[in-house]
Amino acid sequence: MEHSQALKHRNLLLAALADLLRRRARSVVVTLCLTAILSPIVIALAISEGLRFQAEIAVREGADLYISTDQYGGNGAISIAFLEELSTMQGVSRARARVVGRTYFANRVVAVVGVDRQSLLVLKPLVQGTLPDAPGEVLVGQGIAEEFAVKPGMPFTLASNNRKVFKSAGTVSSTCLWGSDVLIMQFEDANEFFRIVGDASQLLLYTSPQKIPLVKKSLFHLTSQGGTPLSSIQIQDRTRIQERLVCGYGYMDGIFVVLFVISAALAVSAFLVTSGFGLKELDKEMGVLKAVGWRTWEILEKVVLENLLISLTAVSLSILLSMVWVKGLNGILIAQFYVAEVGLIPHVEIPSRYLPSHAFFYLVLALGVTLTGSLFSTWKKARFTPGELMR
Amino acid sequence: MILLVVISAAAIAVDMQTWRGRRAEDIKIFQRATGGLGMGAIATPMWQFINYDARIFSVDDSITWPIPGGYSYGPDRTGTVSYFEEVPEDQWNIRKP
Repeated sequence: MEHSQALKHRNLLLAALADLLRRRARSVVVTLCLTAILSPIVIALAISEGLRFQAEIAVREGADLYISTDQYGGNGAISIAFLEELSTMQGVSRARARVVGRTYFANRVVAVVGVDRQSLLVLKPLVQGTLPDAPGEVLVGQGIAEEFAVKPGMPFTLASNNRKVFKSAGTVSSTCLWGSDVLIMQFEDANEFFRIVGDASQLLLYTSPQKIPLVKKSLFHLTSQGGTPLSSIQIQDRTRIQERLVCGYGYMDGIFVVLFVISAALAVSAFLVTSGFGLKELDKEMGVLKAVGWRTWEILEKVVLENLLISLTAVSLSILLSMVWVKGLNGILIAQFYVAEVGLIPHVEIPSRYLPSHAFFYLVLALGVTLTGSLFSTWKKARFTPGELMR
Repeated sequence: MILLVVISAAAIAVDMQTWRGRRAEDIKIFQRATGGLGMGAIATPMWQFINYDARIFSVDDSITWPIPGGYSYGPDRTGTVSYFEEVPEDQWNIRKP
């Protein structure tokens, strides 16, 4: 019994395939329409997933707590004098200071990052050239180095403070989106460039997951003591940052999916036409099938299988097209819709990540669109008698 | 059709493997050294810091300028794949009485 059922399904699949091949032009048009509708959502979710993956590492490998002062309602610089006090706090395994700012490198906005020597040493595997050692030596992000032909040993100044002379010690490989347009230097050099003495943008605290509540409690105790310099601080903790990351990407993913659903809803009428709804020829075919003994559910299954084959082809094409466009051509012309300020020809590598779960999701979406356009109309027709259908 | 499905499945598998290997290690090195840099879908801290990295500046100053209380004119609010909203709870020094 089971074997005969399996044979029946296999025969229906072959019949569906034969039908698609017989009406080749229609099948190609429907597949291409579906590919065109799917491609933007495939690209959006691939870029989103690529960036999310990179951002998750950024959060995981970053500090557990970021401390800055509250300055006019925003984050302000914090004195590095607190570093010792915070590093001796119970539960804190490491404390460090960093400077993060922005400036123009010629006409390009770049991030300026100042870190301690110990942190610079970590970068060694990614550096082409040498690590900054002498004052003024910096590591230049690959994006800037390539565009402005900055070679190791080349001196340069920046408009924000042209008294500070930098020298490129090397180029740091662009491992993620935020590693391209960046200048990495020693903490003291960054402070000198921004004309700030004794302060840092943030103090970074590292602890173990078990000790975070303890450190938070100690920090809360410090902040609650009014009148002390540490009473007006802003603290960002990893848990909150992770939550923000999930919301930040999930929110936009949701918007892209909603946009897809709207475009798909608009496209359903087009699918009704392209799938042959109302064609007398198809009605007659259905009539013949019923006349030779096909049941309604068998006709419906054949239509579902036809749509499944079309959807599988369209999803595969969309994924391959998206890969060629985003990975092969680095999202030329299209990346600017998903990543801000990268321009028509992106100067940074656009990350994209493809997941099997996403492929399954696209298949469900594609099936939803095609079945909406064909299943109901077929069901309505399949209920008529063969004579009525062939008339 | 079968060939297309097989090629796309293989491409997804290769892509997943690429992200797991050397590439992830390089990102980790960069992020360890900088103390965590970057979160949003923008390569530089243009317009405002919040969408570049909400840890650096958790306040969205673009909503108060150029039109106070108006819509944010930062281009990263127009359709990129990330959006980080200002979270007032981050300010620990503000407590309910």
